[in-house]
Amino acid sequence: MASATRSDLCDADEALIRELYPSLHRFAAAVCPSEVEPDDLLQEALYQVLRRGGLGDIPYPGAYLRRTVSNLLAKHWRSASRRRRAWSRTGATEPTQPEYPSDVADLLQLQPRARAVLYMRAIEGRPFTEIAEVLGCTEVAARGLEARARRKLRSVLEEEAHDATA
Amino acid sequence: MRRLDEALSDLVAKRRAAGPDHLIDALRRRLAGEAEVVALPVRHDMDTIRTRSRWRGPLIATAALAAALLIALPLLWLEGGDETSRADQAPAPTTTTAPTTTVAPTTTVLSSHLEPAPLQLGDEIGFSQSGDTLWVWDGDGRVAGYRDGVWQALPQLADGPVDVAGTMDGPVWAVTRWNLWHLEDGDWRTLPEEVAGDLEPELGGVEVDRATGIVWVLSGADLYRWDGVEMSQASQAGSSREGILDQIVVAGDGTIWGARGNPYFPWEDRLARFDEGTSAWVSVRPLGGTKDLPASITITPGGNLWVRLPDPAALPPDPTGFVGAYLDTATGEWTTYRLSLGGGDVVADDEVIWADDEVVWWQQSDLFRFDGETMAVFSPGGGMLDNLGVGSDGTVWVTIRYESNGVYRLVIDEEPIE
Repeated sequence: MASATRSDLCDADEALIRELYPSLHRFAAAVCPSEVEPDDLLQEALYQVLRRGGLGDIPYPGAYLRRTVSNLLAKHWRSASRRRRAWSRTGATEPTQPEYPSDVADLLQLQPRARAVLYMRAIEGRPFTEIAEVLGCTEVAARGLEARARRKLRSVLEEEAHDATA
Repeated sequence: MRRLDEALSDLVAKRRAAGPDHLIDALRRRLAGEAEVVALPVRHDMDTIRTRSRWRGPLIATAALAAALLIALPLLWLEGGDETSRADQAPAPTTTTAPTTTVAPTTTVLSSHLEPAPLQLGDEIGFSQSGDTLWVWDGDGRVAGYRDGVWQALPQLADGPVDVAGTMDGPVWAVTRWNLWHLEDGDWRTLPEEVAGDLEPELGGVEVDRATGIVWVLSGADLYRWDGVEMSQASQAGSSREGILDQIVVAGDGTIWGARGNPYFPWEDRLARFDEGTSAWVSVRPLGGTKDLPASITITPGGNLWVRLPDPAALPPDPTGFVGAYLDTATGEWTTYRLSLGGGDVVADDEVIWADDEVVWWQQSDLFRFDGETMAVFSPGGGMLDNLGVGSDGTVWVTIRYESNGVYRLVIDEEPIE
């Protein structure tokens, strides 16, 4: 069992972080909003887990960390909404976000969990059973999420096309 | 148009990667930093990330002891802050701020389960409590109200609401980001442009004064008043700009209370009361909200004003702990309850609902209820909780993250778990 509170990384944890970093960073990069650095998000997720125990205590640390990233983003999404409302009432301009090509910007309009399911499905080719495990839902719910995410993306792109031709 | 996988790959490629060495260094520093504060009697003494049932008991006992030992600290903190440096240009508040504090609550664990509500809702479900009615909506504009044990669906709005107010047997109002709506002859209608034209997007909230029927709308930085004939700007221009009005509630006596935050200076959060005579907000006391946990206010169906504050004793700042504060609006007596959730498995959400004299909140898949003396803990299963609403009859309704789009009722089996 893990120690009560960690004060340092053990060699096994460090090795595991190095092994998981490339795939976890890509996942974080795909799902996090533009104002959040994927490395920061990944660091927070790892810190939340490591402060209470070693990664070796977790049967599937990669999946567990993806789930942690996803949960952190759900919380961030709420805070960001509240902050946007507050900014709108200042009369001030919210700090500008990095600009991306339109198709990437379209993806960023999707909620993090929608991007997560699209990324795990389209890029990582994971089965819905595994995606469901990461997102903490049933396989049916994961399929539903993906369908809704694709529908939303299509709607955003159609709106853009309509605006461009108007 | 490019393929989805190409666009996703492009998105990933454009994000900076500092590399595992940088990450490991940062983690080492953070873990070493936390090691310096673990001796403090706060909630960092859990031993695993997956054994809630085993550590909950000792943890809550520890938290209770910590609360008793640290009872003076939150009071000092709550009373701290500069009351006058950025005070409003308005009369001094009539309420007093003398605090009293309870000791930490006793805890009981009750068995429970979830039952689906007879509602068909989509994503982004929200709740709001207005008078004796609990409103629920989704991002597609479906709206329903709950009162006296019955859900009643309303016509669908053209857009997802930001807030809904009113009661089932009276006028019902809703704000979407761009419009103020009211229910008339069984359908949602907006006010004529010549009346509502002054409202500036984004609209942030709506409240209905049950006694007078006056509708209060948060629009941009200001408060607007609709009396059935005229829409007028109720707050003086700029009176809420020093501290941004983030939330309004109308008490049973018609008093409008506001929680004011400032994204630049979160420590300047204030509880404020709107003075109709001077059309200005009167600062009542500092709240001490943080970026992670802004203060929030609620008027219960019983007319009581409750405030949720961050937990000042949590070091490092921990949004899973909070202080519930009750302001007796008649006497000005200010009572605080220090409530600790016991730390989070991974991440906590920050929604807290007051129902009459009870507070209900959740973390991950657990629900907590505090009635002023006893804290009850429920683990109903069904998935990770996502949102929470409490009916005036005390019924607790929740939504489940990812798992489904439904609303579920918490059914308490009333069997203490040993």
